[in-house]
Amino acid sequence: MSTGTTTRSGGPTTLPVLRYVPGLLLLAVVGIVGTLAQNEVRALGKATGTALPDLEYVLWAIILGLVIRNTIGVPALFRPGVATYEFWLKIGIVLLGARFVLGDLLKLGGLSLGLILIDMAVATTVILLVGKLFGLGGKLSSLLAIGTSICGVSAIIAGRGSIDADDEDSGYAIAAILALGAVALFTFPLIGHALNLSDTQFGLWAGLAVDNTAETTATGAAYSPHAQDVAVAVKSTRNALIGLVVLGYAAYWSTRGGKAVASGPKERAAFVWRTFPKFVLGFLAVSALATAHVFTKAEVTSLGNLSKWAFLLCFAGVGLNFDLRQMARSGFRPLVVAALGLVVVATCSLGLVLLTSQWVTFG
Amino acid sequence: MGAEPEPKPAPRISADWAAVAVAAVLVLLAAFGLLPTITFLVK
Repeated sequence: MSTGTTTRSGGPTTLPVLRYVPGLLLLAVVGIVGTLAQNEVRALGKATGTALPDLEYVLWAIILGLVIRNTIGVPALFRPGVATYEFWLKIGIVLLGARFVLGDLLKLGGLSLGLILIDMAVATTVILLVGKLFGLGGKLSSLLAIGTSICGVSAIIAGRGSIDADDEDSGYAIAAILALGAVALFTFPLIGHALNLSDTQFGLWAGLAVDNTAETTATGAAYSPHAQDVAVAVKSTRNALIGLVVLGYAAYWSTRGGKAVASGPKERAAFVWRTFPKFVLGFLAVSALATAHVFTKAEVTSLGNLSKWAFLLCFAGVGLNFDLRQMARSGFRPLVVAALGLVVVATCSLGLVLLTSQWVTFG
Repeated sequence: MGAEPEPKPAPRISADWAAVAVAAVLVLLAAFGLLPTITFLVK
């Protein structure tokens, strides 16, 4: 995931935090309109007996944001606040920990870790091979493989410095991963419903196969709240592996025109810690508190609803930050390679989920 | 003349830690029974 927050201060006479207010209000308005659209369209369909598209608020909010961004645009006044969407995603994930029993989380994490390792091997092999076939540079293919197998944008950002890739390569890789995240967001729920996947199966699948954490969370939420919970837990396991995977690529590229990011064990441990997504620790800590019955049932519900509010701001931001023109400029070949990678990973993950999900009794 | 000491960069925390800190405040409020009932717009 990319870090959506910026820390530059405003002018000497303005409170820096005020820069974020207009954009935050826009995120809230777009998100709330998304929930109203879901409720109103459902009510209208019920009242008139017509089969209107039953879209979840997640998709309404993202579509609305996308339309705003790509028609009238997002004025500069709103951009600092709109760019904070991943900050809200992280808060939402930490608070979501209240809805998990630690034992379930460890079981889910253990199972998904095995599946993630298989997926990673498949994604890496396919993308590096197809990248070679399409004449992509080795570093661009590596970035696409890192982004597809682990955590989308933030893994690419961590990988960029480590394998000494140039800005153009990382720009292509990020654009391709974001574009495919958006495709997955709209296609995965349709496929899940067509295959009659259970909420747990769908959550596992989305957590394993959708590239960027915001899109993974939204894809799960577009299916059901339970699918979202499972998707976030599985994706957090994937995210936790960023440091190790990037370190592996860095070691490979250090003798092939990259740079040595960490020479000794101490430096390697420091690198893994630096790239580790700290909000995963918060998620586990809150889950441990919930497991210890620190919260009442009503408090767990309130924390869960706060998490939904935080996700709502994030989903609005996903749409408002998605610039179709920028995606179109990102180049055709990286997109095709990443798309083939996504198809292979999605198919492989789905097969693994169908094979193994019988072992998961959760929630 | 000695050079001016370079100003120290302002202490910054990562977005990850900032998110954990904000969530921690809400979790502490809940743990102490001070979090009001929060509802969501979609059931």
